[in-house]
Amino acid sequence: MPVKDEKKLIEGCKAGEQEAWRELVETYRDMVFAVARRVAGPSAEDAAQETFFRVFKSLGNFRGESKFSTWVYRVAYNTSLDIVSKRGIVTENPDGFEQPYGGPGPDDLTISAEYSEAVKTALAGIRPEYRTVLELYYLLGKSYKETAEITNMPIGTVKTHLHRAKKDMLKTLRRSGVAGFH
Amino acid sequence: MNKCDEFMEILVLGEDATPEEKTAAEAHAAECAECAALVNAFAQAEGELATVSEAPNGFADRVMDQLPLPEPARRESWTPMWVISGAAYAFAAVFGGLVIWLAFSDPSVISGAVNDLTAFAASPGAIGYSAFGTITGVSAAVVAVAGYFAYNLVLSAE
Repeated sequence: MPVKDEKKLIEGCKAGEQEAWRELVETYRDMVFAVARRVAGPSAEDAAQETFFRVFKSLGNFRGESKFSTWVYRVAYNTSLDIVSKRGIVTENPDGFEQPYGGPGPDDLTISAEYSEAVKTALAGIRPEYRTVLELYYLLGKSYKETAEITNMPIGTVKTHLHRAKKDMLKTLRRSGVAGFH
Repeated sequence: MNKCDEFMEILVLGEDATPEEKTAAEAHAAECAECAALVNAFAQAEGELATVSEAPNGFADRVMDQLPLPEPARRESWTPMWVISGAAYAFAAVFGGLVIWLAFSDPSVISGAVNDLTAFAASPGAIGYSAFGTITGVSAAVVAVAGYFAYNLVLSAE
């Protein structure tokens, strides 16, 4: 969600203004939650709340070297990783893919359900270290640069992770028999 | 690697493929049902990956509750301070002035009041008119000024 006057918003937050913080939280909550869900799975709510707390504590360190949104999502990513690491969460089945795909018409309902299941299986089958990058890449609108900034990886590594994630997916999709759905 | 594998590599993985390679792969997918199904599955996965669902209800409130923000500035009193202090002083001046005016306009009031106050001290049940006026006027002025200082004390304690 674009922010009307980001600089003013950040200044208001730094000054501890309630209204500015409310606007910041409401502007970034969905994306922060989405990042947290992708990385921390069932602990997404805790990770997202902790993210805003850390943003609150370290906002003074934001120097404007990257986009503010990228900085916030990097905090969300790192916070979620910390929570996963502390709690030993294994996000084999991330809960970010619960919504059914709304594309095909009524005649395709059966095949659509099978597709959805196969797609979920394929996503769950990607090695976690590659899957997070894949998820962030699409979440951020296919931006290599932003994905690299948030994960603190070189762009080349992001591309390699994406390539391997897609290879894993392709392998799982073939095994699941999706290629047989005509 | 068979033809289907090659084309899928280009369609799904090959961001760096040449335009000609991509065109050939797309033409293949248009005729090969298996490759088309895989491409569709990838498109569906990408759609799901890009989905940003809303944060749960009440999430923003829960976040705001945990942030150690300073309390919002106290709401301005509906009555400005100068009005309250002005009223207190005016009240004190009017009643104090009334008592003094009564005393000087009729000197007998002073002696009457002294007599009445003496009588009141001796017997609180019997109080004269002028002593009653004096006591009321002075009391009102004292109450007004004391009220003003008490109000200030309460404000500074909040």
